[in-house]
Amino acid sequence: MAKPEQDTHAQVTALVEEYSTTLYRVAYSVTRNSADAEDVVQETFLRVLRHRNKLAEVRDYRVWLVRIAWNLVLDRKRRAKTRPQADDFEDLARILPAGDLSAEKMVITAQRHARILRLIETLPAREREVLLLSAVKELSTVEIALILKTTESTIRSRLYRARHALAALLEQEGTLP
Amino acid sequence: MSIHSEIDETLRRLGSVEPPSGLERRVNLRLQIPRKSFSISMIQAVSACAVAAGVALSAVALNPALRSLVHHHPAAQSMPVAGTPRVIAPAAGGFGTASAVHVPVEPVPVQPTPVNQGRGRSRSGRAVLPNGTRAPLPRGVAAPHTPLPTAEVPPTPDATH
Repeated sequence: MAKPEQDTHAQVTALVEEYSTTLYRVAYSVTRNSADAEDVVQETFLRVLRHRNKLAEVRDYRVWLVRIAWNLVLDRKRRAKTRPQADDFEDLARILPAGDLSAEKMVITAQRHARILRLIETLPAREREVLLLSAVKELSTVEIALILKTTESTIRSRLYRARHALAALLEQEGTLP
Repeated sequence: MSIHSEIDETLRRLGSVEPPSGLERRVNLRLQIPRKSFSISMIQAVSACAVAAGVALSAVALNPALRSLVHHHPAAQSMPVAGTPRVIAPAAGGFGTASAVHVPVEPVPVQPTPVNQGRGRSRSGRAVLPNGTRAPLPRGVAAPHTPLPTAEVPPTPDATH
């Protein structure tokens, strides 16, 4: 009686091992907060456990899991009504280049990244979402199209518009430091 | 560095951020909690059912024993023998008299077996036809549709032959 339950749990554990990092990156791209991103990952797998009877029907686990995480993180953001903590230095330091940069260069680089991330938030929602998902290195354009339930060409055109709009905003603000 | 390469660099770093160590372990730990609580609640439910069933069974099993204990109790020996009329003192009045148990002092005579004296029945219980012919008959009463010939009607001349 308990064997199918154990099998399902083993399957979910395997999914955790394989996709936690990807889901964390997806969540982090929106929240820019480590604790919130981890919460989203945990909530994603709790949802999976709740709907474990659907596991057999899933074709692409990565797309399925990222879609759950994506919906959760957007919902969380909608409810919080707060901007991502882009100015939080501790979290911003997570995306800084590792290496032997001087303190001064580190600060300059952090300011550049913070500025670009702040401007990404001003983009239209559809373009911003495609841009953030395209940043996650594990996701291809085809997968992003499946996650957002649209076509690949739509994703490409949104991505093009997003990048050009972001570049225009950066030019408007002045030259990069 | 050009604007586009700067954008690319920021996005690349954003999308390749490393999660804090032990993320998988913490997620797995969190997933264990609902399963454990489910199993604990199942155990509790099963044990509660077992206890309830045990109590019910023991009550059934102990009931005759309790009765026999009452009958063998010394106080029970002085109880009147079955068949002798119980005499209970009438309520002396006061608060609660109306709701007190009233036992008749004399035996109540047994009424004869009651007969069906409802609508459409005689006192002896036989079915009777109602006065109006239009009135509906009680169930189970059969009546002819045409009136029966009476003796007062004179026979026709043809019928004499």
